[in-house]
Amino acid sequence: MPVEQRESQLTDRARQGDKEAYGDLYELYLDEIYRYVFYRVSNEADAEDLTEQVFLKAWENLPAYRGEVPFKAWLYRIARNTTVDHYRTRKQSVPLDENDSLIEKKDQPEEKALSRETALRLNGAISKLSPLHQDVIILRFVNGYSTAEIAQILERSTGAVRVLQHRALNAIQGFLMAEDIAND
Amino acid sequence: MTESQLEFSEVLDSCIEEIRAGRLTIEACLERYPDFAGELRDPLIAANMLRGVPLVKPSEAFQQQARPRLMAQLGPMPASTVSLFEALRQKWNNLFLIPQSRRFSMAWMLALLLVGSVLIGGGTAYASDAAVPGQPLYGLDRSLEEIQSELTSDPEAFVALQLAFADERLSEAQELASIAESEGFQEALDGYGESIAAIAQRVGSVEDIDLAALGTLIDESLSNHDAKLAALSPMDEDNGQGDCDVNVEEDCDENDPVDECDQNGTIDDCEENGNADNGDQDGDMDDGDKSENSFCFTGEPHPVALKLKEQYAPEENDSFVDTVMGWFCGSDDQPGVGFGQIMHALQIEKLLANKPPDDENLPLTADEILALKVEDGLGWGQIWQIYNLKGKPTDDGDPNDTELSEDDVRPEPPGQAKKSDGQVPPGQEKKADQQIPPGQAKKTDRQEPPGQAKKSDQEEPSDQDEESDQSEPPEQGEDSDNSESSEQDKKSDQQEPPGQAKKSNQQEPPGQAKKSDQQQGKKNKDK
Repeated sequence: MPVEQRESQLTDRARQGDKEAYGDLYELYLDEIYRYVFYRVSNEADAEDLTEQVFLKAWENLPAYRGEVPFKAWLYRIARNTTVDHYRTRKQSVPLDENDSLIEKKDQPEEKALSRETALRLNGAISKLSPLHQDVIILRFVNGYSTAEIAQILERSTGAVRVLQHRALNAIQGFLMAEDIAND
Repeated sequence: MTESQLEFSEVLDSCIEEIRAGRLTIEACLERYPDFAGELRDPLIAANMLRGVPLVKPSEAFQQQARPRLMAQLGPMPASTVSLFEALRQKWNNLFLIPQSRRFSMAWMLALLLVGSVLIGGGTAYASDAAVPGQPLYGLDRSLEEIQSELTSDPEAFVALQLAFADERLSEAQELASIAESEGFQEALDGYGESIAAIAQRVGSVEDIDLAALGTLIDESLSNHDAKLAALSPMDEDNGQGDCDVNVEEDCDENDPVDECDQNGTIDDCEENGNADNGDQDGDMDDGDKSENSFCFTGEPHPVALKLKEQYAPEENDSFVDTVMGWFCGSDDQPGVGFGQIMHALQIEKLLANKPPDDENLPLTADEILALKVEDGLGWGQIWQIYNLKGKPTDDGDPNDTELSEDDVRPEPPGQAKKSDGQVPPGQEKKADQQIPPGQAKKTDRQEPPGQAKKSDQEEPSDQDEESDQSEPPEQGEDSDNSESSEQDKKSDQQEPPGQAKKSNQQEPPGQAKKSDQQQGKKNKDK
């Protein structure tokens, strides 16, 4: 069964109060929501805590979900709001470039796996981006969404997301180059 | 943002997709687009590197416990809406239990619904849901919603339903604003206000409500609504301004003329001014970036502010609009407040005008109520608790009657409502502030009712600013939960985004500070 169809069926059942169906949705999206939150908050414990909050909030607000956007996009919006709330109340506790869990390469093709140093540099650069640019980069290059899908999540036009992507990439490249110059 | 820049973003995205799919290499892409080759190289290299970022996963321990722990925390579905079929069935069963005064309209609605369904077909109800003001099916859409509201007795479900309706009204307003259809736009905004009013009314009239859960739900929803409300402007083509975050999405679609995007000050201008991103950095992203809203720079009244005047203070002069814009725009050291929150505060003020709180010393004006929200960082659930709104009987004493009275629908202006009630004689509002016990003093001393705030907007702030007691720790009313209060206080202290002054240091009443800030904004614009 295609993921979209399965998501739709599970969402319908969950909206009727079926907790098991919601549990299935949770398992379906746990990893990618966790990944998104992790790259936003830079801390494993916070990411786990916030991921759980995201799914609890989604359950509480499920009656208000009207299916205008895919459930996944709606879930990401809740995740975004949850991380924003997190930043409002707490500061980053562990900088991304000191977090060992970033070096986890499980499930990655060997040719894609980066050296520890490159991974840390890249993630250091991501953490310096503005939150909106972070959103675009994480969704596009970490979670692998198309610009059209990101547009739904961020409630922007596809064109706007492409422009944001361009700027975010330039910013990352700029950070990396500045680092190179500093090291030289 | 020039046409070539937009085109470049599209080319870059296309290359990223092709490279990701393994159909092209970076070099092949550069060859395919020789005009952009110079610019393309760096972002493509960065994109290629990013493809290899670690795919982190939750820890094993977390994964093993995740689902059972979530399941244990899930309560019953907090609010469920009534299906159309169920609504009709219950409607039929309950028709003769409805008060005589309302029976005719309900029967009429039901008849309309049934006839419409038979004549037009089963898709009508569905189609009507997508209708906007001015379209033939819109009336049916609203009638169906009214039936659903009437039949939803559970207060939590009712609030969730009204929030969903409010959201739908905002979507309609957005759609109509985009085509500058001002009459329907106003009607949609009216509908939004009605839903917010219904929520405040219901919260104030029913026992046994889970205020904490409802407060959270409403806080989150109003926060989302605020972003939409802040972005509303049916006059975009006239004022040539735009909210950055919004216009990036609304005006700079790839199909739109590029020049128009530039005129509206969208992507480039926003980025250069730091608007698009700063809002996110300071955590105001989801509040619609009020302080960056173009209306706050130009001093032009926001259409929603005009609507609020029409709805809540039709007899007052334009200073009411200025006050609302002051709340909305905020100042350098005080964040603005979203229109959804403002509307909710005005609605509570109206509610209190009809049913004053047990404690006469509690703040009564929207200005003061907003201070509880903005400066003390309280959620709406806590504010309702302070006013002991839960369980207050409605005017006619029927706790289940949620229909707004005529006064509710067309209230007195905020400054006049209390006078007509005779509850707070003119001139005694200030005294009431002075009588407030220590726990409440902070919240009230620094506030002026809108009427007074507006006066002082035109003059210099009076000495009362200096007299205000800012040093006392924030406390809540006796009814509020102490532990929650201290937690909230702590949260309030931590809530300051980097670069913003602490809210508790705020000395000027919001109306005054914001007004002057707004005027400063105008001056800056003029310069």
